[in-house]
Amino acid sequence: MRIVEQKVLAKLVQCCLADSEIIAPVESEGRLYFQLLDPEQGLVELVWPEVGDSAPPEDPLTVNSIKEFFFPRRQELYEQRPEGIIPRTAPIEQKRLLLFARPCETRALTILDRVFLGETQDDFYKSARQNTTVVGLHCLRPDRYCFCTSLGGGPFGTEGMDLSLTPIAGERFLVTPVSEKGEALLASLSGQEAGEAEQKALEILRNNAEAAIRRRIQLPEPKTMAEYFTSEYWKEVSRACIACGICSYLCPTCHCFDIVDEGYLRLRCWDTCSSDTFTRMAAGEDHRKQKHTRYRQRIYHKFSYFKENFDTHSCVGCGRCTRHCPVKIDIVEIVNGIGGLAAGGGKP
Amino acid sequence: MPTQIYTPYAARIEELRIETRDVKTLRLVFQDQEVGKNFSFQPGQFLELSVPGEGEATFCLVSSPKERGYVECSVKRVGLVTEAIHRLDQNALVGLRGPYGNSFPLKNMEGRDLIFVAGGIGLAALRSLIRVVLSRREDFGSIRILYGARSVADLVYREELEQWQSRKDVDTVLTVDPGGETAEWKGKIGFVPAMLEKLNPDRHSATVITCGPPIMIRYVLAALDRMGFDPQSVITTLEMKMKCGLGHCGRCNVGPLYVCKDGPVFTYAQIKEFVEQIL
Repeated sequence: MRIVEQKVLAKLVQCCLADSEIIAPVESEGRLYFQLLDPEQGLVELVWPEVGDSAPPEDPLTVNSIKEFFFPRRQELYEQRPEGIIPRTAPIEQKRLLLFARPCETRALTILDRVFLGETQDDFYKSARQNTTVVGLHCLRPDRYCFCTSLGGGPFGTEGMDLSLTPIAGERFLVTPVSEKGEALLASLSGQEAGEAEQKALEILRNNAEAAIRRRIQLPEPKTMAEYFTSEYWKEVSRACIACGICSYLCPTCHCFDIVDEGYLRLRCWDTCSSDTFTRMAAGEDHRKQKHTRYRQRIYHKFSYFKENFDTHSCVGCGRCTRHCPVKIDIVEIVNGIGGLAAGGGKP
Repeated sequence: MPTQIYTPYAARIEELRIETRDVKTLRLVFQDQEVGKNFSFQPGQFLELSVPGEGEATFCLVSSPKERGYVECSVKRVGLVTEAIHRLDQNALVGLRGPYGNSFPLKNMEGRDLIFVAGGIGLAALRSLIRVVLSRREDFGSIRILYGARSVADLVYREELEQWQSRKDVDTVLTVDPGGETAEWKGKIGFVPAMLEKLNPDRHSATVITCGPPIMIRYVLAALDRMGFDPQSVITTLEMKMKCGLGHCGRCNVGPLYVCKDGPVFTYAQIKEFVEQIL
């Protein structure tokens, strides 16, 4: 672990701009979004984390997750011309530096890896992963929607990162390498090696951050999940859903997509199981005709099927789906509700 | 380089056969001969077939893997992509990628009596397997094909049905739904599941392989339950909306299964708990 001044890090990022794309939080209309930095503008747009009394009481989180830089919202696969296929998507060859990714979403990358780098590897995703160095940022003040700790993550988690940053007073960072790529990057960051005092400070920050997360998702036993599959409960809790799909689009682990043609262009676009066309077949057959069956799919896919297939839940507790739901559907309340019903002897 | 997993091969429609008013069978030849030579598949697997500008859809391979140099798909006109395919003439180019999915467990069928139970275009999903089985006739016990459609005009693969009927070593039973018969109709009249029960197959010696409209499969499975069939010796192949064919896009997910990569062929035992959801 090394203590690195913000200006040293800034200098490195500035240097990287020459041969790398930088993905980092940028402010727009009062909210943060992960974006590619405009190389012309340099670091002007980059929003640095704040610490101390002047910092906001909750860490401002980006609206979008980092998912789209590995699995784009709309990917032009190829053009289908009479003379043949003209590729539009090349694997990412450009080096990329992803800055200030939170532990929940870097962990989400390791979950997406299980899908896109599993039995069949998606070469676009693979190259994007290989050519991106992930610099993570620990959360000092998780907000009221965060629940990463009940899903195996934490505000100081490092899964999926190459290098982790913990912001400390005096515009400095405690920098810890996580991977070989991170070691290499750290080698170009000058600073004092951290000592016992910093280790201790880090522990305190970590404990405080973890304690600040009060939300807990209580995942029912698989048996209970199975029992409640056909419950009327799903009708009740999904009634408000307007199937806008924002929960899926902002989710760092949702990976469903559509393949469609737009003229001669074949596209791969994000999609959502909330959509009433998601499983509808051409002849009208649809095994999820009712809204509650689609909402239920989202919950069971994340907390039951994905776990069965990949030994992890497809949720990292970032809270985006709840933070941004236009009708205030709360995934934690809904999942905990099953357990609540079961504990109260409620009939499935 | 494109993301190669989605890049189709160009294939030419060498032959078009009109099966019914809304079903055509396409014989497709890969433009690149090398690709054609190396392309192999197993009965039960499927393809993504695409028409530039219209989209891509999932079709089972209906030819036998032993037929080399081409593959065949049967396409029922029901939506955007299938309508576009139906508008194509002989020699038109389409895109093909695949094969995807698992295949019928031929090894487990050897020595067994086989009963194929199909409805409508569902026979397409079994045709490849039937062709293989008939080409290795001696490896199996008795073979029965029960095939039904809404009406006489909706029966597909007419020539082949006649061939099967003329074979002494295959018992082919054709049926149409009540009201779907014509004056000349010599087959049965009645729904497939009811016909199956009338045939009263031996639950110990027979393996049943079924495909058809979801409602038919559901009633066939229920009939087999009543007859005491072991769900392990009942095999079906499922149709589900799919896009990628690789278990990535999430569409065909039912329970922990992805129909595209864990299926499309399943034993009844594997899907029993999901039948209410999908059929």
